[in-house]
Amino acid sequence: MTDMVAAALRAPESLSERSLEDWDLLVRQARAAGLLARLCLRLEAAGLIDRVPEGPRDHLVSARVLTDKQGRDVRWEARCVVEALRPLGIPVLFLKGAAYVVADLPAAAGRLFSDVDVLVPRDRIDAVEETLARNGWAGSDMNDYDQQYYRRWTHQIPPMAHIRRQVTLDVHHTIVPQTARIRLASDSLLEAARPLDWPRGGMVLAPTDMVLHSATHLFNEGEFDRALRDLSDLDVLMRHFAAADAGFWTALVDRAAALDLVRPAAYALRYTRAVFDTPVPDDTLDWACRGAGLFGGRRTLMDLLFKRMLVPNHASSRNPGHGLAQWLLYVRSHHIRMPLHILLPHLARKAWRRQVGEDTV
Amino acid sequence: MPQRWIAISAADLYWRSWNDETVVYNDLTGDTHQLDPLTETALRAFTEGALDAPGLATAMTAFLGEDPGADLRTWCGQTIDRLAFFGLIEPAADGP
Amino acid sequence: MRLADLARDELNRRLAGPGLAVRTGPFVFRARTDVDLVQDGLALLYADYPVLDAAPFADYHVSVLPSRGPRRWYRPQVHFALDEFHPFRPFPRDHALPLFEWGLNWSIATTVNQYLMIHSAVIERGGRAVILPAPPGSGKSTLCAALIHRGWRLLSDELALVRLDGSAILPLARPISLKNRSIEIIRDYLPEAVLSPRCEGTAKGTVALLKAPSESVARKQEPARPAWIVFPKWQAGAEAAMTPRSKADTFLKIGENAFNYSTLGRTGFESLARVVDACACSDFIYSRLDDAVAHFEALAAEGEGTP
Repeated sequence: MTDMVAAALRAPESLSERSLEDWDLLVRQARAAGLLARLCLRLEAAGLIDRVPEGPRDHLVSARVLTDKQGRDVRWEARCVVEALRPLGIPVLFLKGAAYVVADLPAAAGRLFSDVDVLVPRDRIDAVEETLARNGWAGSDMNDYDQQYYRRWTHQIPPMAHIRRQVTLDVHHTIVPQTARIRLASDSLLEAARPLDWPRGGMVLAPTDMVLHSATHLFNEGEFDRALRDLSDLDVLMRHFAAADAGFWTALVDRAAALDLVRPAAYALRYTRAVFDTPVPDDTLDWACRGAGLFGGRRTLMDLLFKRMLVPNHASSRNPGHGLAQWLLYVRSHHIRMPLHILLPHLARKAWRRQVGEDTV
Repeated sequence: MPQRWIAISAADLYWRSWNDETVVYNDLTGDTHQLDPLTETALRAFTEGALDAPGLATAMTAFLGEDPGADLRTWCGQTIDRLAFFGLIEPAADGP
Repeated sequence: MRLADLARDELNRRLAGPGLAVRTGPFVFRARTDVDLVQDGLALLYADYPVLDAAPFADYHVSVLPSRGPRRWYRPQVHFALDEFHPFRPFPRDHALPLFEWGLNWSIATTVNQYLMIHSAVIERGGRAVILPAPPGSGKSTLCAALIHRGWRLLSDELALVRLDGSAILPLARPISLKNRSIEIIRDYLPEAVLSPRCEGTAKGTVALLKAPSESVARKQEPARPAWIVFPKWQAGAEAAMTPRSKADTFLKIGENAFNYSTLGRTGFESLARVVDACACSDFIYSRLDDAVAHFEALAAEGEGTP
């Protein structure tokens, strides 16, 4: 089974020799991975897009046009959120994809967005929710159990969307769940955050923290539908920050140690380098892996699990053992996020509702 | 001092007119709006420079060739609200 | 080779196995299905379409396959997939053919941005196109079905594919989905028309698919230049009347209902503006198809001889 997408992103120039049969599968894999638009941008940047046969080229460019539109929508949504919350006088910190957009980072380009994530101070969460509701944002339909679950055990209030726009807004009040064993010092993140020129009043995490947050999200959340895209985001972010600041790699591992996030940092460094040839210096990687205990049998095991997930979400790129690895990582993520006694009823109830949901329509 | 407003960057506004009807596309919001001749005149005035509500009333009086009085001032207030709601104008930075 | 030239068992073999590659308009779809309703439907409705023996690249890998699970014994269902993605919940097996058509429309409508896609029917005469945008229930498909059997060529019934420079509309002649009363109306008005079996109780009511005229399918390479935008409205007892309508309002209405106008951003604005510039815009009210045919004849006669 082959992942054609990572190879294509690593070496877009190699695509000029591809046959139409290859393109047929590559387009499908890249679409499933959420990386069709990013591949288009690589080809455009390299001046190679016109050499792609017309059929696949139309799909590449169309996907890129859609991400342009989503980037535009996210930018405007971010501006509206900042304006709505301005009277509260609180910092509004954008996370993940929305942060890449408002900070004009290359990781925003060619990226699909499902929502806008913002972080606000935990003690103002009620005021934030109320202010957004008064300004046209409405909560999604959710039953009482899910509402309760969201508020108590996750790090966000139930998703909202503005009635005139379709963008989903996720308001977080700390970066990992309150119950997680790995605890992020949100005060420290907020202190280091960078104010934006536009929208004025908005903020994004410092470069190292942005990478660590993205890595934590990818390697601890247990959801891998877009794993290769998320890994590609990390690749693009780290290349960009390292090119702008020679001290970035050292700062990253120092910060990971300070925030107790050495493990996700080590995974990010190891797998971006393995999959996308990210120029991670050897000593940075060694230091992080030693700090994370990522060597010997543990490294072999995590390689077995993660390498199965870090491929396009398409049957043609999956290896044997994919399902088992996915299940193990899913259970692991819930173990990190929640104490076991709450985890088990939650999983059971989700499974039950899935079953019922499938049978009622 | 009343709030002053200015149109968003001309690079983000795309116009098309047929007879006395105009549509304008706002590339920041992705929305397209149909403008009647008066609203179009108001928006074009904001593309020339920052105006507060009395400033807009003056510009509109010049366009109409007469001062319709209180009605116009009410209309200017409402029009500013509408244009701001759709993200076609934004608060101007302080200063002259 | 046309689909009709394939022996039926070869057609079914391809559909049930590696997939049948068919060209429609600028797109190639590779269809897989072992559901006889879809196999029969394709044999009937797509008989005139080119089948590709070797199609190394397909735009859409689509399938309609039976859903698994215990319900297949007592209430069989089918599901549509674009590659590995299932955009809809399973449908009752009886609805498999309309599901295939909706699925293919959905696939095109959600992935294509190399054209501006207006939600409308398009017909052509003398190189000039009439765009017939309309909300469901306005009788657009009925009118379109009648006109394409009375001197007009079908470019599309659902999706107008407009070049981004606004200069031309590309043909995407596909079966026309007729709903409820319009099925009887068209059966009476066009005894020669080829219709699929009726399919009752779908989300859109009773549906039957009308085969696109062979000539429209054959002229798949000929784009047409936008010349008119006509908003049709069927109204019981109304005298047929064509009245001019505002260009700005036409622009907004079409933009709101286009599949990708907002996705295309300023490109979409410029394309649509060029289309509206080039077109005479009107509303058309009618109650009798014969009147409609006559009014459209008059439209075609307008400015005839100008290139």
